[in-house]
Amino acid sequence: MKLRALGRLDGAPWRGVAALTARELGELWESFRFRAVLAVIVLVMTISAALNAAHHHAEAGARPEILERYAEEIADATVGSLADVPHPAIKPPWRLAFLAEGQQRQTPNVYRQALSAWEVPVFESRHRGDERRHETEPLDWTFVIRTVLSLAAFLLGYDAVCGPRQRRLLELTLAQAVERWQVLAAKLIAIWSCLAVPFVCGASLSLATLALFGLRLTGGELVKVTLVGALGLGAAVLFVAVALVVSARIREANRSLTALALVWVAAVVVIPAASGLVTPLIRPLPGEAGDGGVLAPEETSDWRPPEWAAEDDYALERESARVHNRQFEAAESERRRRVEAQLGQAALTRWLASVSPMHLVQESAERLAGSGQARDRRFVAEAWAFREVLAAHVRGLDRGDPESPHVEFFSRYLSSRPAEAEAVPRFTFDEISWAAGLRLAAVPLAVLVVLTLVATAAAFLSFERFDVRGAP
Amino acid sequence: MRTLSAIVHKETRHHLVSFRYLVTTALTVVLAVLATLAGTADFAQRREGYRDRLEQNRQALEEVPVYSYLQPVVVRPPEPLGIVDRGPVGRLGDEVVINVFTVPAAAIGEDRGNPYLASFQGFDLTTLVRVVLGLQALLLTFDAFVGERDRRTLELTLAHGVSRRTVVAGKYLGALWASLAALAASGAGGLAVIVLWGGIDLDAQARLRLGVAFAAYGAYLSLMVLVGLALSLAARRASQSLAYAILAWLVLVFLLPSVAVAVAAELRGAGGEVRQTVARLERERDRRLDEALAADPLRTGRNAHSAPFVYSTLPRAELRRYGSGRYYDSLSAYHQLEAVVGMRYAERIFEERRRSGRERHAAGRAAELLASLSPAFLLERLTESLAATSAADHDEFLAACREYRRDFIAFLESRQAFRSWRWFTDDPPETRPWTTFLGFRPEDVDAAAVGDLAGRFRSPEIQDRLRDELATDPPLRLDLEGLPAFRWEAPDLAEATRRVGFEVALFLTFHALLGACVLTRFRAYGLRGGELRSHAR
Repeated sequence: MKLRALGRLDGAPWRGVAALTARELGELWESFRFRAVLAVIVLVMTISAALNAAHHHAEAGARPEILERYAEEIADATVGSLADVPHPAIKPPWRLAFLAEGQQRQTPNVYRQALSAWEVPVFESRHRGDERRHETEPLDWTFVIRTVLSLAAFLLGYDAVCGPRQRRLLELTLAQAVERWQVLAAKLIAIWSCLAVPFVCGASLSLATLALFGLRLTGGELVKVTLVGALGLGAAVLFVAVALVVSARIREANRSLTALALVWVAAVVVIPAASGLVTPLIRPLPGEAGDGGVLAPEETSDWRPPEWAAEDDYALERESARVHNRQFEAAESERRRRVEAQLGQAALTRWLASVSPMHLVQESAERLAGSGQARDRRFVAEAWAFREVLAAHVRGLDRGDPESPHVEFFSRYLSSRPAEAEAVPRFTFDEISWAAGLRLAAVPLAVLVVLTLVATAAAFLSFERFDVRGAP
Repeated sequence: MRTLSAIVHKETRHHLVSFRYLVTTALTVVLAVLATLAGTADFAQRREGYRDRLEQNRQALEEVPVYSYLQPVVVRPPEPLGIVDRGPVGRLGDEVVINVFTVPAAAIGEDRGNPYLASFQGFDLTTLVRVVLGLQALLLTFDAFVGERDRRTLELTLAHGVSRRTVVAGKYLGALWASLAALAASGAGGLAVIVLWGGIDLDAQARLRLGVAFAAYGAYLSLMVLVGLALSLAARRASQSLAYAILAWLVLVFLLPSVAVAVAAELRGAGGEVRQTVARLERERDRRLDEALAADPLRTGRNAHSAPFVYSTLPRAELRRYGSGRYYDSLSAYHQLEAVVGMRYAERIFEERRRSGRERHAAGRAAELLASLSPAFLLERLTESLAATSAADHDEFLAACREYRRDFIAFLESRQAFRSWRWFTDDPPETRPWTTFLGFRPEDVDAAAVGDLAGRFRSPEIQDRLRDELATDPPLRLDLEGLPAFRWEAPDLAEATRRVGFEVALFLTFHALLGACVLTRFRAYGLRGGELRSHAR
């Protein structure tokens, strides 16, 4: 009776929706499924926050170790010896790993480069971690959204339409002169709420855990957290809409959940895995074989000690230095081309994987948080650019010494004056701001919005044409 | 038996034609082919790299001028069964430089592919079985009992005098056969790629291991079938059972291993303390050796006896030329001490690393035990051991490297390399100190004149003369006959299986427990329930 009254209220159809939503919510909240979803989401998000905070503290602790060693190396350095010292560019530990880890514990985070043409610069992965452990998915909010929230939406929504139909409840409900769209909107809102509540609870507990572990977030970081949280809630609408479409199209609850489980496996496992498997086959990396000569400049034994070479104004050494510098540049451009190719291959994989809405959600979350490939690309670009800063500094010091042979950048043929360690430029990494992240995520977000609208429209259309008469 | 056979037949046929079975099997076969294609290409690339490096190392050994430069590089061959299970071995390196001053405790090298693609590249046949076929097993069994009860066919079956045990066995075997058929289809697709496209010829041992790995896959599927049956008995409705099954799958395959492994990693830490200890020991060693080197003034700085040519491109390796006999004798005494001190510190550093490794392993063991509650985690452990791509296999390789280092040191000792000038110079026994090229014996040169003489020694005429002499009468290469060769083979099947005894025992225990649980529960299973009894959600 109440339904009829509410449904017929002129100009207030949402009241009917509210009443139906309340009923749906009441049923869902009492179900085992909701409790299980609540427990899993809250537990995973809290554990993830604790683990990520502990990991961040440990990595941040290990970082000064590298810098301390570097400080020791340059403490008594001369201008010349600065050319031989490998200057580290370090990508700082990712503070928002709990939000979107984005492979930041696997990709290279240290770039060591000396100015000397005899030293080969290297990108290294020096993460605090256990390489012997099994590879598992990183636990972060993105994992929860992509994996748990999507499956939870399917578990809560698979029988939303076909279940009541089988039990003949749908026929009864619609007999109360309630509009079909109202019924579906109520179901959508109710299921979404059953996802939103655990997610918001999990997120709050996650942030509280981070605070307990002493990880204080800045204003910009909190904006990123909010954006990813909003993305999670938005993605939940898409997942629920998909569940409703399948539930309306497949009229038997078991089949509906089976189909949704298969959709989930395809979207979460199959498509990303297939993308990773296919990309190296269609876009292989340039081989290293054959370019070893270019990658490793020849050492020379022909250089004379500076005191002996001074007699002819270092003629031999200057010529040799030109050759070595040229070789280094060729080798360096080859190395950079390879890194670019690796990044390009990864970008193609991600692009292919974006066929899956779940991966699209992950991609959007990583971009919003300033993690993932965007952060890797920025680190690579900034690390390469740092070489120019170092070169300018050492060149400036060397030019100030009239006694230096100025053979750049070969330690024994540069100024032997002491270099002030504190004045040596240090690498600083600029994290991607939330505004830049938002710009980066614009395209995947737009696609997600379109997908959500399409899925929601499909759900309503399917339900409009749904035969509500259940099996006898 | 005939009844059992009939039930098994009916169940299998029912599964084989079902939509969920056909879709998951098709998905699995396509992915199996893709995964083995990528794995095979990766293996071929690693194998080529391995052969190249072997050849480079062989050539480098032929060029070695002095014993201190003799630092053989040993490379672990890629495992062909890495196609089936990549394991952690790819991240642990495959190359070890053998020398006197380091006891191998870690490996370097190996092209580890694209680091920016790491999270997309862990997919192999084991992952496929773990995730997709594991889900399929649950999808086949979630409604085995509750579905039949809802349809009232279970009551009919039992009314024909079929024992409950036979029904359970029939349903279990029917689902298992169907799962194994999907596994066989994917395995056949994968094997066809390995043999026909990859041209990889697996030896008898590898084939045996592969067979046992597939048996492990079968055991995993059997366990998942039992989980599905147990959930089917626990639920009141088929849809509820399916929801349970999917939740169980999410927890067992994804959440439990992820959480437990992450906790284990955090508990283990990164071994920062041992790095500090090692750095301290290395500094201590270097200080002692520097003091020892400086003990004889002849060995420090430039003088008429010292060698003007010093090459050093490897750690603690050097090649000197044109020094005096007195200088070389003094240097030889130092290098004997360097070898003794270096080996002693190498052992101490290795012991520190081993102790730290044990402590870290113990710290994470509890969390790993928690992960062992997941059949998916157990399967991963089993198959990587069988594929010889586990961390334990890497440890075996490092142990073989240490064994080889002992043989290598014995070889050096048999050649008296440490006390020989040949440790650091390829000058002939009747030395020609650099000053003699200018007409002076080293003993006759005043210290103040060394700088001037050194400049003259570097004159183009003298350098051309030296170059000509080296061209016409090159120094003899080291005779390396008797240098032991490094050989390493993955542990045999018996050893691989013994190492995962705990995991096998857990698999069997889970089987027994779940089997008993299903049998007991079905014995008391009410045949009238489901939809008719309750419409409650």
